[in-house]
Amino acid sequence: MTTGWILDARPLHCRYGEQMYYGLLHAVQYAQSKGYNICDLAGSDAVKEKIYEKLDELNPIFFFGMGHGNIDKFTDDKEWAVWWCGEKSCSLPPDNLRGRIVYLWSCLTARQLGPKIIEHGGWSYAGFKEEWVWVPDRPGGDPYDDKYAKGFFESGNELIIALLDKKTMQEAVQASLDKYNEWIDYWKQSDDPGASECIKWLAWDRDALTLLGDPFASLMQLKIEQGAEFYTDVYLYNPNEELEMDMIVAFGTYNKDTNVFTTVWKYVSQGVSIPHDMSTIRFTCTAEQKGTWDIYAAIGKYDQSTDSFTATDFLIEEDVLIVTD
Amino acid sequence: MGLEKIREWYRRMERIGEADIPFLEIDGTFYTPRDILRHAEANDIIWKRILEVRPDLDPSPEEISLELLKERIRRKYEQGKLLPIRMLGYPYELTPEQQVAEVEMESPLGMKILEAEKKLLQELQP
Repeated sequence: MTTGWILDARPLHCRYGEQMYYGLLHAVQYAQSKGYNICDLAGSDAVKEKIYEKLDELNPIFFFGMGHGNIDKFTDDKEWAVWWCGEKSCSLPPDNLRGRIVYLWSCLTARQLGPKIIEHGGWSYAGFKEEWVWVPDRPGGDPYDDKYAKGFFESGNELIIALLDKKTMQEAVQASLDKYNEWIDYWKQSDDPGASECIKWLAWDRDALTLLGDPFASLMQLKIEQGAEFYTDVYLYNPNEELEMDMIVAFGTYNKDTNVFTTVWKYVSQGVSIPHDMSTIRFTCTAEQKGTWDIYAAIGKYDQSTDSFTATDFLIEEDVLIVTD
Repeated sequence: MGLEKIREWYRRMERIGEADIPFLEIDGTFYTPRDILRHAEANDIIWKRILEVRPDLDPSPEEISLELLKERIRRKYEQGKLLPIRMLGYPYELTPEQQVAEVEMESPLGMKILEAEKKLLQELQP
């Protein structure tokens, strides 16, 4: 079972750490701006122990990170292995990536570690089957300020951004490929002396990007086993004074044509205090029935005697929950 | 392939610094975009041979020889067009000198550099 949390590892102290640290920050900030719950393990926090601890504690649906990988290994801020699992040995199996979407932005992991992640129950994986290469114009700092490095890091980040924009993994990979091509086209039109080298290595990275597992995995869909618990976070904005209202989160099916939501199971919370400005209300839910479900979340007034809810504001999202055996 | 298309392609190659880097190998001889334009404008026997062997100047990846790729790396190095690169899995930045050395040795890394060069050639097709 997973939650709506996102976890990332953004090393700083390993080789080229500064560019990883600042390069990935753009994706982290995008996630924050979209209102996601993201746990950003940055710098000396981007180590195996903390990654494992947060995977266990937050149960995130999506993990992404940069590191110095190899065919069977992904490394942390200290360049120590976080997962180490290949065809010959598996000393750090990726069991804790079960059920998650994973993007390992490093070299070569698509050859052995990526397939092992899927074999160990990972939902979907993206990574590279060759070394991930870039052309630097500056020794360090934010790669978005580096005229050559920018295109490489933007293209890599595009996969994360597309997922955050509720695209499927397949669409996110395509968005990243499109961004590599966009930069290749940019350099083809350029008269910069480094243009041809940038085209070369952008094409190299583009062709190394590999998707494994479920191509339809997305952050909009939570895929869990029947009976498992999960969180539903409802984001609220109240421009007025603090107020008290009832809230409902229901799972069922929504018929667009009739505009009717048929509830299969629901959670009602009465007298919820909704503070001024932004707030998040968390519901602990259970995956009651197998199937693919839509969600209805609303604030308003619940009438216990008729078991009916009169909404003052609501949101319906389709196909957000898949409950399996 | 029409002369105007060749001229337009040449202008693009010149702009990104590829005008004097070998692009094609025909009968064991390397031709740069500048050579190709010259022969096309002269409509000479070499241009006719190029059209016969590579009508769209677009060889498939398996037709691009290792020698052509190596020669491209050498010429780029001589012309100061190779840039340092960083690979996430490698312990150090690869300078142009190191790239040339790896390519000459045909080391596993050198072969990857040549493979990338092949991808570049495919991107630069007219």
